[in-house]
Amino acid sequence: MNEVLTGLVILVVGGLATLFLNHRWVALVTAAAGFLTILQGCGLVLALQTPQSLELPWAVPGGSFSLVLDPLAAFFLAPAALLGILASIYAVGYFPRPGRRSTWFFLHLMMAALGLVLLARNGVLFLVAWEVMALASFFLVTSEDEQRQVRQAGWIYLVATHLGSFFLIAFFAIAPDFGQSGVGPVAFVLALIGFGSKAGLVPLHIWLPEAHPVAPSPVSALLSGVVINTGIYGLMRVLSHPPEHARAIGWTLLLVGAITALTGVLFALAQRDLKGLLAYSSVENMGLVCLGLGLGLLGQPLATAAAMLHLLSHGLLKSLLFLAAGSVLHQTHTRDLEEMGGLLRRMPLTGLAFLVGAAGLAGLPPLGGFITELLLLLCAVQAMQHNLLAGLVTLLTVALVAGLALAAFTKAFGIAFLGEPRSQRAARAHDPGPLMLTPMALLALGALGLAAGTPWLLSRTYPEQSAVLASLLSFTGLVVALAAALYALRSQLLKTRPVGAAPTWGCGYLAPSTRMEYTGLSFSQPLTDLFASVLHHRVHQPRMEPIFPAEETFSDETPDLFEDEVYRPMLEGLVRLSGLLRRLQHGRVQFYVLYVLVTLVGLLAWGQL
Amino acid sequence: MSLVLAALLSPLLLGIITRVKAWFAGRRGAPLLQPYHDLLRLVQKGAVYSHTTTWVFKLAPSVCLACSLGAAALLPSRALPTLLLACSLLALQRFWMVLAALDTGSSFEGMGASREVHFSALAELGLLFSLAVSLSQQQPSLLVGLALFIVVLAESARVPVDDPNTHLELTMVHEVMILDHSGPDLAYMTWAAAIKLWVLGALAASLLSPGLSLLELMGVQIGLALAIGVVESSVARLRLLRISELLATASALAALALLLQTRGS
Repeated sequence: MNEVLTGLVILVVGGLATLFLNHRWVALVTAAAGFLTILQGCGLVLALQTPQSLELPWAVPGGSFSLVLDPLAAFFLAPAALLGILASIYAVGYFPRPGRRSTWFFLHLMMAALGLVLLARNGVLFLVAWEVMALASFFLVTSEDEQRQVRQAGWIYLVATHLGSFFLIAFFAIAPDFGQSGVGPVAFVLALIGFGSKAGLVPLHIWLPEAHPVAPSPVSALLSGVVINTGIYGLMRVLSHPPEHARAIGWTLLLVGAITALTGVLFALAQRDLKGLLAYSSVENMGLVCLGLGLGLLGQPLATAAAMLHLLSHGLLKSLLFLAAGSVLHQTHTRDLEEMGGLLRRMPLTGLAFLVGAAGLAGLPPLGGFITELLLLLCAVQAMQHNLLAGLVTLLTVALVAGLALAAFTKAFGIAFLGEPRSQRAARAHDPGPLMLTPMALLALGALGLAAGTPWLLSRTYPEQSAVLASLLSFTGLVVALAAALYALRSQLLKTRPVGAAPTWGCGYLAPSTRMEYTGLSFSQPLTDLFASVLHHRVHQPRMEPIFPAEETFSDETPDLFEDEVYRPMLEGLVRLSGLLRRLQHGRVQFYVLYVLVTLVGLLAWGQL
Repeated sequence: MSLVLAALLSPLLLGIITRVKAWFAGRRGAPLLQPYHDLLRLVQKGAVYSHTTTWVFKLAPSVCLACSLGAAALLPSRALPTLLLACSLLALQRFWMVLAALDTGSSFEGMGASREVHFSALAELGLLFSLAVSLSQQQPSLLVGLALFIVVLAESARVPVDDPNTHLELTMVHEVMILDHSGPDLAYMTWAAAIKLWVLGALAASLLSPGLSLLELMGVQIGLALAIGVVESSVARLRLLRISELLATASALAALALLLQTRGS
């Protein structure tokens, strides 16, 4: 406990120091010191499995400075600290110098507040920490506020997070003990809305694909890999005591998770913004986690374990992908997939890192996504014995998500990194320096290590499944070895044979240009057309009317369904309703005097009664 | 043992399909062992690589073949985790095949890749549904069998989903993705596709009738090849837009089987 608190203090002090000494190494050293101390504290709690608590005097009405570091909090805090270090190293290479003074300050502040969120057991303290975290991340999201799109995204984020906080305040008013006893249905709904909006559960997700892409990439990595997990943490804390109506709550989480996962993956597939695709994929993965929690409450405890494993592996893989996407952005100055291409030749290491992340999130063996999907499917088939519908929903969701995620991530990697560059800037790209490459390499290795270590993590609580998983993973290892052997055989065969080089086969056409390549839009079009009822993918097609048409432009967009169909009409209705007030407040003073008179007369009349 | 059988006998299935089609068309057709000759000839050749391609393109055939072989070694089985791993290995194979196709930068291969991820996403749904249904019931059901047959046709790139004999890059799915592979790489890819057909057959067989001996399994595979040959000779390829409906039908059939079964019990 003391180590963790010391770490948090180091972070805050370090953040303040960067305001005065604007030096990136000051920031990095304080970040490393702070996060390492936190890790040490978490390691102790995770190893001993005993909670540590601390009470400090705090003169705030209704508040008490009570902190508890239990295994659940440490489970969220340890990966956060680890990703914090890696993102800080990356950020040293990423941020321009001399850069903005406040960026490092807010980065440190956000992570310190996140630590306090995980420790706090008092409603007021929790809300204060939650708010600091939200505001710090708002300032980080709007780091590049000279762009209009960034300001708009920041604005949406600010509104969304405060709507969430509003529901959380109500939640803490009803259930101030925060997970010490089972929650009732009303408290659960408040918590689901409040925490769900942070985790990006549909339909409360619309801020996420706006805010995460426009943030600087190391910040995006932390937002998607760490900060959204706090929403899931909140839900898990609330449900840590068996709730009343566990069945209904389980069903709610299951359905919300299924809808979130499917919506997320479909919109990810339709994106042409690389970081937007990753952000929607975060929505999808939080949906899978929520689904796992729901299935866990419906009598499949293994699903809860799968959800927690998925949080870990998604955190690693998504941070990795955002960092790799950041390197691409750093080089090509665009997030548009249609301007990329051929980057694997030019940025081999970044490409390899992205490939690992993409394979992991596409649910391919032996990485984390595969393990989660496997465990969830096992639970689904088992659930079918007594709860057919829940099993069926899980099966449908996981199966569709697996197939569509494969499409989305082959699109992301294939269009950005393979083929020929589609723009001048992509053609000139090259790998970033070691400061940005090392964190990516460590994350890729970490993802592989986590997958290999999963049987060990499960072995205490689920010895049977752990053994099965271990055998499956070692079989996958054999397949990898076989692939290597086959590759060696092929290279040996080709040594003595003529090996030529030629242009790609184009039906005999020998002067292909990069504009004839398959684009990301055309790659995903069959699936986006199939799901057009959800996606509303809009294409502004040029009209080639006369024989010699004038210059035309082509553009496409996939607006968020909920933003367009739910929030916009709702907000427009609100604006129209407030418009009615204008009839009263029209700026004519004589009428205002009349109001005063009418009110006075009314009051006098009331007094006479 | 099943691995060796799959590796050695799977090209024969291709030979049988071609022979059945030839018989329907009133031709004599290629010898049954023609696929083996083709593979041998390809292995002995050199290779040509596009200027655009990277190591992904060169590594993909080895990974694809390893995945096919791995899945073949896992089957036949009725253990759910094993079956799921076999499905995931096929997904891994698809991932690499699609990436290799995109690596060439050709719009034909991009088109094939795009269709592949489209169809397989829907086929996977049908496959997993059938898997869940047949593991939770005792006797095989006709509906699941039909669903699995559609999935096998789609996943092995056969009519009515894909036509391996088409001469137009624009209309192909699987064949167009491997246009740029040559020599041993192409041999790997072709062999991997043949083994995948065997794997799908073994998967369907072990779901529909548990406890098959290897000899019976071989019989089932040959029967499947004959059936595919008959379908290819008598049915036209579907329009691309209709294929989604066919694959959705497969999932619906499996789901229906599940509902009927719970209704019965």
